[in-house]
Amino acid sequence: MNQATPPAWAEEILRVLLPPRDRDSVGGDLIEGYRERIELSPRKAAADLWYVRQVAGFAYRSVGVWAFAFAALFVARGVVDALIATDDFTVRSTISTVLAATVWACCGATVAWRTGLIRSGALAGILTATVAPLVTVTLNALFYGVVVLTGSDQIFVNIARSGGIEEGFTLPFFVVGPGIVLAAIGGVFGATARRIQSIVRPPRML
Amino acid sequence: MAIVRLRKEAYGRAIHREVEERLGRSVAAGAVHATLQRLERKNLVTSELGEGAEIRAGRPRRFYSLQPSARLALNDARAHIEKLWNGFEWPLKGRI
Repeated sequence: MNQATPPAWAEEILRVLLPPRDRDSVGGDLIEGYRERIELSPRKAAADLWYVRQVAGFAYRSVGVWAFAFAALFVARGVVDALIATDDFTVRSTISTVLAATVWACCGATVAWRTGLIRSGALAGILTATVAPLVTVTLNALFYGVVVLTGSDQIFVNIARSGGIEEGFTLPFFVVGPGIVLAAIGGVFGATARRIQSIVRPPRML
Repeated sequence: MAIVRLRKEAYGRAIHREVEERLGRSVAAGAVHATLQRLERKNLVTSELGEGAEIRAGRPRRFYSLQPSARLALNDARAHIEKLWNGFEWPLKGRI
């Protein structure tokens, strides 16, 4: 029987993303799969890659919806700025900033609520930060592609007034820092709420 | 279906392996886990922790078993599929 172990960092990510109920059993399932792969083919790198892909799947299921929510919000703001002219961006900026902050905080809070771990919120923020800007930039590229092909002069003027096309490709990367902080703060709330709930109504561990 | 086939041996990794073998392609462990969780929330399956094993670094297995409502749901699903296929010869041949 081999005693190979998967990458420690991937194991830790899995552990931090799973609720306490599944932490050991799902972790065990993946180690079993990992060791089966090493039995079949002794290439550790292939088994490591399999393990990391499985953990990425769990991560995507935990935070994917928030990454897409952030991207949708960001692109929606760009679309509104492009299609509806304005001289005062204060209201739009306030609304989109508050909504984006809410998305990041909810991302951290929901993951931490599920796991009961404060650090899950920060990890959720980091994972979202690795995916959300890429999704946002891709969607922005599609939108601007359509604008270039079919847009009127007025739309180009509106985009230029709102910060220009380049902003759609750079700003998503600048907001991930504050996003991670907000997710971590959300994580504190989520994990605390879970602890209070487990005191008031202790979980039934099967 | 994997739980029905595996009976007493229906735990996470075994179900994952069974699904991959039946479908003939790789399936994400997260997808299997999410499905099992959903079935459990709907009270179609129940689970309990079992013993660990060396290949799992001593970590426990979570064994799943079907509730009677799941058997009814499986029978219903099979009946509906058969109704949809009723009147066709399998496999389909020629232009449709």
